[in-house]
Amino acid sequence: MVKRLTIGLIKFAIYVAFVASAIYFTPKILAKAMHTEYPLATITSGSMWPALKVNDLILMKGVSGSEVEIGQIIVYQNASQGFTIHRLVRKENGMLVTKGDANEAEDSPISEKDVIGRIVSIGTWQFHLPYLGIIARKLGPKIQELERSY
Amino acid sequence: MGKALKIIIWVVVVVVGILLAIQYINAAKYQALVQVIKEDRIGVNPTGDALDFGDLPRNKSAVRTVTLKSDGDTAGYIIIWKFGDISDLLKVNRNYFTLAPHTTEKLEFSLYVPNSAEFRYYKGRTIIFQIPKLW
Repeated sequence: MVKRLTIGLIKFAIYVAFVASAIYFTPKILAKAMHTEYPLATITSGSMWPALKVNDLILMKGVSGSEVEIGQIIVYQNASQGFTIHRLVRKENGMLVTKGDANEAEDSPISEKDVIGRIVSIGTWQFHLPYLGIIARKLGPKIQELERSY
Repeated sequence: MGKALKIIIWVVVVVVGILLAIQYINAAKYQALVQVIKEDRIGVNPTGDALDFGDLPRNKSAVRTVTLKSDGDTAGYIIIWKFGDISDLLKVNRNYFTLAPHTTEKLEFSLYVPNSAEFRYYKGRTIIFQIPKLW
């Protein structure tokens, strides 16, 4: 009886250690692989609906402003020192103009140095995992989308 | 696993299942729909048993209300669930709250049609659970 209990406890401890390691190390490994401090982020507004929905977990790749292309969903630091995740609609005079798909108006132009990265995409599909952002929000650094929400 | 334990688990599962079924049957269920249109006009349909937001163009919103009334002596815990493709567009002003006995609460369902909405019907269902608050 005692032996079985001990084996059960050891198995449980190994399981907990494995899960804790996965939770702790996954963001760090991703950060290295994706060349950004913020490899995972949570969508907090509906301005990119329906491509991205509130509480989607997104995977981000760190790229410079000169590497992003029109049509990609990019992440940049906004004037309020927060982050915005919107689609790049055009480039003009060295500035980048973005817009939330669900928004009527374009955002104020930003410079290339404000760009932090872009969302990882597979073909036309933007990498996003519905609802998993709720967990990431509790565990990791949060990227807030500060543009208009509805 | 002992036979007695199996029986207890089955009884618990059946009782919980029956309680959930009763709550679902007692819940108020509404069909929710809106037609996104190109023209810049708002078409209002007379509301019956549906949360019908009529015809709405992009970047416009509409509000429908549902009034909850508690006639009994037991407080009710209100939970509102939304289903279907309209659920992304639909917001309710209150959710997960207690409705005290002999009180009323007006729920406002607001629907905003974003710029990226397609020109078509968006449909879904809204279920308002009223669970007797026995705790």
